[in-house]
Amino acid sequence: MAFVGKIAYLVLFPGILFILLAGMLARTVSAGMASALAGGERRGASAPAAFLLAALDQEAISTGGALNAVVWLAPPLKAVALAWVSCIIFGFFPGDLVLVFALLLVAGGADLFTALLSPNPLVMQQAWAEAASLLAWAVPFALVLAAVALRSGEVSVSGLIKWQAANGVLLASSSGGATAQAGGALTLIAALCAAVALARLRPFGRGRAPGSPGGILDDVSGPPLAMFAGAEAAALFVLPLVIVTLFFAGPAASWYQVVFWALKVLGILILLLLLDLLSARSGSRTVVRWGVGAMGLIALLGLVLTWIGVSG
Amino acid sequence: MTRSWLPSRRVGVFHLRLGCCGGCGDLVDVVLRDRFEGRPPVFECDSPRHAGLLVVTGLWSPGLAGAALEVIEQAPAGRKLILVGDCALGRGPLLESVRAASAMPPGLEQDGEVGGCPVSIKTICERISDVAR
Repeated sequence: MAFVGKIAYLVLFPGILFILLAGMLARTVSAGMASALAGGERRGASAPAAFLLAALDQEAISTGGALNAVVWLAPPLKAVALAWVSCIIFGFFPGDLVLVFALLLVAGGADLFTALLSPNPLVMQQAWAEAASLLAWAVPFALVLAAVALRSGEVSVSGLIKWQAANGVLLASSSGGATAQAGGALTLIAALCAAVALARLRPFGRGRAPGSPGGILDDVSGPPLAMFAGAEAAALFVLPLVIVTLFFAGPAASWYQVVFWALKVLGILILLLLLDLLSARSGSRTVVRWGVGAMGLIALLGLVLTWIGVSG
Repeated sequence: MTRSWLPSRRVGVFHLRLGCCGGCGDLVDVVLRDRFEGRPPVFECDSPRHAGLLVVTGLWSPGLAGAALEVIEQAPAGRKLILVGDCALGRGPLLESVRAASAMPPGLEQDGEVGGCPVSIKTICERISDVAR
């Protein structure tokens, strides 16, 4: 029965169904912000759901080659990986920061496989950009996780949340002194930038603008397209949740504490969307330079400062 | 202005430019991308595989017609097709001067057309709304 229960968690709450619905809400916030701030077309709050439903109803055009199988397998794999992360954070599954990182890597890798296996040369050219995107968030994010684990002394996610509930949120906790706090602030900056790359908001034309340069989704149609869109929307909810867990976690025993968690997730989501809107569309080399280079250095500096603060 | 919160059915449109003076193509782009009163409830697609409606503008020159047909065949079943402008309908004023140009490939069925040179934005909007409905 325990196994069936875990499958139910993974599929329903706080798994796939939950992150999909929350992701659609996040996509609605994203569309609203884009139209309000960037002057884009007002497509209404229901536009993301309408697109998903319309895609489900359409024919899936055969792509040819190995991509035929991958377009059906990659989005569910991404959704399950993100659902697992959600289950770990909500405390339904045990898990540590390394597992969360590995699951996010699987979620990001699903897109890379799709691009690599495409028989369409225009889409296959995107494989380098996909790999650059993966590298751009994975390197700084790994350093961020190391800094968080060093600061709190906790590797498990539940342990990290309990530590923050007892000592205050990681960003403001007095543990480690001012040096560690400065290190925490730097790692938060790196984590936010990594999350923008991981959520695939920029720079590879998978954003919200109609007519934007196409990526791997140009090959996909019908139900697989709906699954890709759903998994991307889910990522838009799970990533702010991960950032809140790492830096702003707290108790969730009463309803108002749960509402406070939700508000924190919304705040981080809005911050990520603002970062996305403010950053210009850039090429893969720029992303690697900024992700692995600048953000990697900031994350490394944050890790070193945290280490100095904790050991001092 | 009232706005429905229920999912609205918006049709994806893929614009296929075959090339000529480009006037019709520019007007279709205005309809698909700009915001104005009376705009049809559609959105522009990056790929024909996502489209429920294809809009073709320009001359069906022999070298391009085959490639254009391949693009049209990429659209999912149930897709609709509108030809916009005299050139796409095989009767444009530049037809004779280009010489190599021909009419629409046989076997390709259209669901609507907007004739004229130049075409009017109002007619494009009405026809797209009618066919996309």
